[in-house]
Amino acid sequence: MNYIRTDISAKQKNSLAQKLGEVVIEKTLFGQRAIIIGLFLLATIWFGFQAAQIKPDASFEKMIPTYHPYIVNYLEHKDDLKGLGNAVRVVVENPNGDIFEREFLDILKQVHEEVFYIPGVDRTAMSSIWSAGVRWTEVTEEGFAGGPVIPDTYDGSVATIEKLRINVLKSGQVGTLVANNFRSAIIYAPLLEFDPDTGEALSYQVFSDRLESLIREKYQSDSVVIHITGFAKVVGDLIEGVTQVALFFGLAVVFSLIMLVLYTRCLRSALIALGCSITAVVWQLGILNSMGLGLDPYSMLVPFLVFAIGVSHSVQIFNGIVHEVARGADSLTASRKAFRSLYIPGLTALISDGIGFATLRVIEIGVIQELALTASIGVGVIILTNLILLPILISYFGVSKRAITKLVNEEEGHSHPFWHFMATFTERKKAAVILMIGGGLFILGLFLSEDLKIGDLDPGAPELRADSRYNLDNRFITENYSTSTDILVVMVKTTADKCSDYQTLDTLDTLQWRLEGVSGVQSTNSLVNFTKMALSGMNEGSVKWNALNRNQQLLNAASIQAPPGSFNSDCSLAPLIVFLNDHKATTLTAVTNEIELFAQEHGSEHIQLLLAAGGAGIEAATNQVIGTAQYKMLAWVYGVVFVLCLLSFRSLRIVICILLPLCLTSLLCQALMAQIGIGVKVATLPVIALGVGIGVDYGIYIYSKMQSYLDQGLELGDAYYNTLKTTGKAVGFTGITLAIGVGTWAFSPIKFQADMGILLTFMFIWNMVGALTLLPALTAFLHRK
Amino acid sequence: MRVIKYTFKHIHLPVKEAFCSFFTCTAMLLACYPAFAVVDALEDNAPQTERAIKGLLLDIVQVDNRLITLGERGHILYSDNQGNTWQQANVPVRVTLTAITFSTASQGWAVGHDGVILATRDGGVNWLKQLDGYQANQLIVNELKRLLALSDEQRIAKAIGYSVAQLNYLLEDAQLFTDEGASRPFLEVLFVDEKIVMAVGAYGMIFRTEDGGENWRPLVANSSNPDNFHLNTLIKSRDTLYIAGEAGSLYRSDDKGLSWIILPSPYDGPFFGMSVSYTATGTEGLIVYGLRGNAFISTNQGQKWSRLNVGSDTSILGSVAMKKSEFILLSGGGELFRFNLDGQLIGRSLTPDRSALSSGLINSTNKLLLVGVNGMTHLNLPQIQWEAP
Repeated sequence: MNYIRTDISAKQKNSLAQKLGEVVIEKTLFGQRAIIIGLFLLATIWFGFQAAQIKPDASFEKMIPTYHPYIVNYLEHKDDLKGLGNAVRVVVENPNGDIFEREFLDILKQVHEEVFYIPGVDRTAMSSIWSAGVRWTEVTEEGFAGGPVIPDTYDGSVATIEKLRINVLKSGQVGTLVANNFRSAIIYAPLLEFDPDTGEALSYQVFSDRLESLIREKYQSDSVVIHITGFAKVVGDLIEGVTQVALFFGLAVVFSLIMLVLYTRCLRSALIALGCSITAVVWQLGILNSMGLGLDPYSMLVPFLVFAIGVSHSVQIFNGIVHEVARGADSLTASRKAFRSLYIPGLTALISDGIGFATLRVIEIGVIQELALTASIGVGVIILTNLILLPILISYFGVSKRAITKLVNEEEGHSHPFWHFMATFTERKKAAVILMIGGGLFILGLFLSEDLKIGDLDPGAPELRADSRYNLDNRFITENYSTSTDILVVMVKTTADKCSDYQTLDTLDTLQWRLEGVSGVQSTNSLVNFTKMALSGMNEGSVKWNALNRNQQLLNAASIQAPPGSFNSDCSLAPLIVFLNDHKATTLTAVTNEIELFAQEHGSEHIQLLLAAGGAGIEAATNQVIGTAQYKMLAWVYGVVFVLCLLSFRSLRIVICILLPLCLTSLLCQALMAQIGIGVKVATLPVIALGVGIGVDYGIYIYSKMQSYLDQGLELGDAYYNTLKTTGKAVGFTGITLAIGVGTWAFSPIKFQADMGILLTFMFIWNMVGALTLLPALTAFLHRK
Repeated sequence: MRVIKYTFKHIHLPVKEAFCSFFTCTAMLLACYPAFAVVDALEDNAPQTERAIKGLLLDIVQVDNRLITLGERGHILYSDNQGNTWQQANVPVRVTLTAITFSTASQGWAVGHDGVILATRDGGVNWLKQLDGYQANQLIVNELKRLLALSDEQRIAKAIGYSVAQLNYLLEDAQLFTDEGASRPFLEVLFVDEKIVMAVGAYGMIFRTEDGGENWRPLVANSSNPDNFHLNTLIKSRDTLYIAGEAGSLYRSDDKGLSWIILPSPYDGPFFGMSVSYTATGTEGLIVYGLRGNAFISTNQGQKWSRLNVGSDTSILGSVAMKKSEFILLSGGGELFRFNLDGQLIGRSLTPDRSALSSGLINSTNKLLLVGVNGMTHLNLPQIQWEAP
């Protein structure tokens, strides 16, 4: 980054810091080259050893905004909401008939037992028609009669299977544990948070693998189809898919090598640049592991970024070294000189990248904060590997003659028609046209980004592709069962023993009726539904008693029979479950608004309605956090970049020239998201910040180089032409290399990685185009001689 | 009490999990989420909503060209186009309403939970509360106290069948009900004659008015129901009134509801409803039905009953009278059982959603309108597929 070089070399050449750098740091580093390389080697072996042990990691709580009031409420009452949180559904389907066949029932029983013994399953809360706790009831002249759905006398005979069929109909489980078409049955298994064998946090990956090997692989056949859904399975599939990222990483490395060789014409240097960048990635992963962190699917892009940033800085340093060699210096002297002139600007640029990434920490969602941390660590590592190790290595190996010839040819040699054409962008007429095009795009961007949605837009698990096995399994359940998997839970809190009070239940009943009128709400369920049913049952099943009653003893007697989970142990909390058609942000907002409005309309001290648990409740909170964080994050990123640019250039005009093209890119990126149906969510929110953080370098490189030519007394057009020949070309190279590096992600089996890849590619390319066209056009009007 | 009779000896009671620690709410959360309560159901207007027709509906009647139905949350709906579209009435309560009756095209009464009796004078558009459960409880206590204050001779002269001990027992019970508040629902209402209207309900409640509801009076000792069994239905056939209820209770009144005699009962389980149909020759066919497919017919004013073979063990909750001496029984499983007055099952059918049915009628366009747990169901009567028994 030549920008500060010119600045600093002009203004601060004799400053103390510069002296200190030259004398102490440079002497230390280049005086003990062998020792330094040895230390790097040792560190790389150590971190490599650590990096090899890094584990994919995804925890439920890291993906949610733990400070949001909804989540605070949920975490506070988590123990009382058992069975509503994390569970897997294993569906056993008979493709050739219905479930009332002996062979099928035997297999269902085996699968039930197999699931029962998988470590991590909450055995007390597990249910299927093979559970003793799943019962049928009916009203008789003597009172209630009932029993387990599987008859006590079950022996697989036609008669007992017929009895089972009748019991299933009386059990009310059709649509819940048994499919509406009776061709499949569900084994519902809530999960523990800890593995009971090891006492450690339950590994979803291991759990998911066990489901695959012990259930799907073992039982799936021509006559049995297994479908599995649940958060643990999503995470398992994500981690499985994410490991393919290694392949994309390999691809990116190969592409970069080709590009580097083409650019440098020096295989040695290309390999060194690549090696240093890979070393940075190894260190970064090693540091993560030694900090006890794993590699989260959402942070998976960080190694790519680290690698890409490493490569782009290597190019700058390589340029500097070749420059010195071309002037006749030997490798060591050239490296020392390049280091001397580049370590402060390089350091500043990397620090500003690091700070840019660190601003992501303002978003209070674990995975994003972790991404901010890992990205900052990665950038810090690049300072060591690419600013220090790289020049030291080149000082040993030197650069090829072809590289030097190429540089000399380009800088002093023949004329470049394309660069000449682009240099005319600094003429006011052409600049005006370009700015008008830019303005047009800005308006278009505003218009197209209006549809930008918060949150997930697709059914099922939007992290995975719509045609992934998981989403097909999920669709099977939605199509064949009545209970939606998109659940929002309101926690109804009272003082102890008051959860079944008439007033509590009446309030709840009123709210439920209102919620059922909100579009997107399928149905609601709570202790109220059960109490009404039980009151009707206690009055011989008369439908006219299907109502709440003011007789508290009657209410208590009715509610005490409610299934586990209908209220907590001291009857101070009862969940109200809202089943939704989908988890689109508009649906979630409509529901939470209605609940909050209800809260405002009615005030007393006895009952609190706390939002929100359930997958959809958590997503509602996440959406709210992201909705506000989106602007907060942009403000921080642009704020930091603005301040850093202002500190470097000390001119508001220059800062405008650099930042305006970035703003256009950010806006167009939002328009792109709105148009191709990518919502603003945990996975895509950081992308804009990362794009700005990296994109600003382009503008800085170009403007500072141009400034140096202007300082030498060149006209604007000539200054820009010279800039294009050197830095402009480097920017083009960097932009394309970065874009290719992340562009391969578009083929990831993980939907959100593909989204990230598409958006980053778009941003890298547009940032480059903006820096090469809009920046000179803006300069044409804002430049002061 | 009912609760005691239905001890849950067969029921598997869920074993509560180990006691979990429970956090108190922080001040911040209290500020974010104000606590709440809704206006009392007896003081709150019924919510106006287009979904009312899809909610729980329990009774439906036709008065002239208007159809009127009612159900949960104080919903009363009327239709002047034979059920194609419905308007919601203005109702001053939001309790579940169970039954409705009209004396003229404009004057009607509706009853429901929390001891509510409502009245309309404009054909069901606007309703006023005439009685609620708090008043009903007090009226019953006062009436029992009045009876206890009478001398033995006066009681005999008024043909009161209860002993002082029984009256005291009933008073004790009535005072307990008063402590509970407005907890007893009315389950049926019937226009009897002129300005006489009667309502019956839970735990033996019978109320009667002779002035169109200006004054409602409890009949506490006019029928023999010392166990306070629920009285689920009240019908009129010519000049005779019938009540059927819990534990096989069957009563008849020949004096417009002032005094009641016990009829022999063919069943000791609960009856949910009664209906009456007449043959072409004018023979009265009295039908009573209840739990687990138990249904009976009598052609001699309830002196002798013969069983209707429904062939299903789901409860019969309602009925619809048809032309040609036929009637349909409606079940808790959405089944329809079509009988003739000879007591023969002609055919059975099933509603599409199989949800519990409570009442129904055949409108003037020959549509069968059924109400129940899932609101209103329209069936085109000639197109119903009747499966032969």
